[in-house]
Amino acid sequence: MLNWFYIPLQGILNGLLTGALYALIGMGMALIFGVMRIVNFAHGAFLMMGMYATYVVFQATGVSPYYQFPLAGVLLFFVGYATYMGLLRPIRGQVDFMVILLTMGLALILTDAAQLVFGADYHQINIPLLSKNIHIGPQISINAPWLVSFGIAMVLACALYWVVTQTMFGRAARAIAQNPYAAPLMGINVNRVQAIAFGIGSAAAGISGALLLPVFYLFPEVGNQFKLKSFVMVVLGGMGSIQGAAIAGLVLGVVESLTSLYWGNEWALAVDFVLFILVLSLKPSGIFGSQRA
Amino acid sequence: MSDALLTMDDVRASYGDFQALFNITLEIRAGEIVTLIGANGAGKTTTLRVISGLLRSQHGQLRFDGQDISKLPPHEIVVRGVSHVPEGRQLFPHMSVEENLALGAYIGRVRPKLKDLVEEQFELFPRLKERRRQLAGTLSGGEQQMVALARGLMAAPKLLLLDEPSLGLSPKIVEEVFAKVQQIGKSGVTVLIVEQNVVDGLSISDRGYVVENGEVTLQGTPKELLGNEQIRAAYLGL
Repeated sequence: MLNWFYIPLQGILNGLLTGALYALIGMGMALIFGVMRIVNFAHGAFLMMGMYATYVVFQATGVSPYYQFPLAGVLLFFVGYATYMGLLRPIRGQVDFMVILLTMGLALILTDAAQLVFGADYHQINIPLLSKNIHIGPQISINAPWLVSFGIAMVLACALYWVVTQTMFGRAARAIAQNPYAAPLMGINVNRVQAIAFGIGSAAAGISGALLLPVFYLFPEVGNQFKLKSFVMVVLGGMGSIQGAAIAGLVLGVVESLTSLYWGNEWALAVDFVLFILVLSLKPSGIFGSQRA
Repeated sequence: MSDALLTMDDVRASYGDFQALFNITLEIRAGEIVTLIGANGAGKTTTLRVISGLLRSQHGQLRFDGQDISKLPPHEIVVRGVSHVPEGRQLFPHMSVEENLALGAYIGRVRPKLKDLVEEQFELFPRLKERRRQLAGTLSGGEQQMVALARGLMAAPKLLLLDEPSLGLSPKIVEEVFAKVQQIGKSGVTVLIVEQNVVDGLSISDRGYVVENGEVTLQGTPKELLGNEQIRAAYLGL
């Protein structure tokens, strides 16, 4: 019954649904890397914070993450802004290694703090939407929450793209990336624009965490795998190109989904990194975009 | 003089342990075009960097439009009305000509007038209108210099600082650039030029200063300076 057609099609659809969330995570990372050349090793921990924040609000109020995700975004915007102003700004201009150590250290502190406060147990939430499926024809079905998170993530990804390419703020952020010497001569307050960019990138991670909560499980180290995936997306997308990272996120979702379909779940992450190594060694400027953010 | 737009009095500045400016004393009146001349490494570029706030002065007075600007960061000095067109153009290479110009009008005071300001620049540099959608990094050197000038003017400055506008350009283009600078001066913008191209620089200027080893050593009208034996020997090879 056309199984050779419907099974991979279902796989690709599932992949795109996951990929939209990856895209949002990757765009946040790419924005920060593109504007500041900072590899934020705390990106996954920020996602984890967004997840726990959403979890706490859900436990207290029962409001579905699909309505309250902006809270996680606002919270993580301020966390990102404060991280830049308080921790990263004082070491700008030092060797890159210090930034890497600092963000890695921050990630460890946040992860351990989460373990201290919430314990190492896995948590899941239950909302009515989880049991709903949308059927298209006899063979294809889509889990409703994934469709909702896909829609939200895509809208936000487009909004982020619009901000970076069309607004004066986005122009200023790109100007700093392209010529940090000339940017202040335009009247751009470089530190402020960078802090806001760092805040927006972190907010993207926080919102992704909120959207992941209903369909994933929550534990203190949940951010690690997403941090690794966002490295892969930034590299695939062409260092710091946010549209490149978005496309890379969708591609990664589909590749992972088809890999687990045909080879088994355990191979999905391996395939991510094979892609990562291949791109780095064969086309280090990335596949989906060469222009910087 | 009371109508001084920019005053520097015994300004000193260093890069780390290396002192680059020892005694920069000069005064620029509103409406003037003034050229700083001097050898490579004399401190001309550093003087502009101190005015626009990229480098902090450590001593002396730096006043613009009646106010002390020596403690302000660069982005606030732009707001006060100083626009710095740096050496080597320093455009945003992956952005179009239009986007480069738009960034010139980043400060709040001029942002609402963005469209009018862009039109003004296209009038002054018709060539840029043809190239408006082209990426700045792909333009010729002369066109890039035009974009840099236009971008500097987008902030509607009172004082325009030009660092080596003729650098790396062919003689014909240099002539065009200086003609534009003269036109800019006539429109009422005060201009301070740093130039190794002494004759061309002075020919459009009202006055000139000579900078040697981080010190202003001489000043005068273009005629006086070009007639000075020392200057003829040092900068013109005569």
